[in-house]
Amino acid sequence: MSAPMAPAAAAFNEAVRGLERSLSESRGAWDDGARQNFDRRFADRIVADAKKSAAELEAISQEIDAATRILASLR
Amino acid sequence: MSEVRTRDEALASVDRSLAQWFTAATGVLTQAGAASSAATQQADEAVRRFVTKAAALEQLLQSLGPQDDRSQVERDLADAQASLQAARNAAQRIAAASQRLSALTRSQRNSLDALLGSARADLSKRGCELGSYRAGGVAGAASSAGGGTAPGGGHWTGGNGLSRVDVAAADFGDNPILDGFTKGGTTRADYRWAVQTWDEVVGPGVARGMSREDFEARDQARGATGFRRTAGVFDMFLGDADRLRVTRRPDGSLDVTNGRHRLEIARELGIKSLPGEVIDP
Repeated sequence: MSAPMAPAAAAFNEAVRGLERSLSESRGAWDDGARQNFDRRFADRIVADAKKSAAELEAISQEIDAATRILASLR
Repeated sequence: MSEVRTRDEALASVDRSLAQWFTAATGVLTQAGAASSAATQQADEAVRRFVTKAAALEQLLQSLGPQDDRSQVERDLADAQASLQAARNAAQRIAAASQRLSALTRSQRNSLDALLGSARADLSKRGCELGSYRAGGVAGAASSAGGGTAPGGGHWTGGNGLSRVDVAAADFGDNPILDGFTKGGTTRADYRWAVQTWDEVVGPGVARGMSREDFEARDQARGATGFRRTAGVFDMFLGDADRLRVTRRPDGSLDVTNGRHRLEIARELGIKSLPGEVIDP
């Protein structure tokens, strides 16, 4: 049976959380109008895209893993 | 992960986070692509196996004579055909999911390339702006708030009565900090926040023409309360009541009357000067 895709989806989710966490931590030292502008133009969009991609990858991995489980069960 | 204490460190930290995100996202999607290819290969092999098996059983069935028992071979053939159908269905699901993965990888790569590139370019520009600001020194950068100061000058003048306090020259050896930064229920972290916020937010904001009311509005918009308000930092450094007060000694050192905690934190953060009242007897 091929390697499951779930770990890749989990790793992607973890990377998204890491990105959010580090962006949030940096606000302690940089939190002004310029930061809000930066977040609005870039960071928020990057995080939103990342979350959307994480959800899509999760759905794809569930679909592929379910199909490979069926293949593995066939005699 | 190291603690982010200054705006410079924050800029570097954000840049690093974005770069790490790009590497992680690209790496994981590559890993997912490999898993998807392996699943496709597994499905193809399963389909081939059951096609071969069903064909062999059909051939066997055809070769049996009228007296032979066909029932077991017919059952095996039905099982093989059912498995073949299941394998084909699974292969279709994997193919469709793989197409979605390819689309996701393409879109992620395109958006990451464009957005991350712009974001990191923006950070680099801010880093340059910060460098220019710092090259002028705190007092110089904030001088426009003092009212009528010379452009690029290093002093607070006019009604403020403020000038640049050289942090390195401040001496409070005869009056050391013994309260552990707990004055008025505050903490060392509160002081660090205040000094850093002056250096990174309020000072540059004042230099751009922001007033106390602007900082108050900013605090209200963010729901900031208590000690950690930018308007409070404005008062702390530019107000009459709590501004830094030092007296210049003949040897050039500064005897600190008010502001030991802030000066101590400024030293920790590597901030060279803060606005304050300097008495030259």
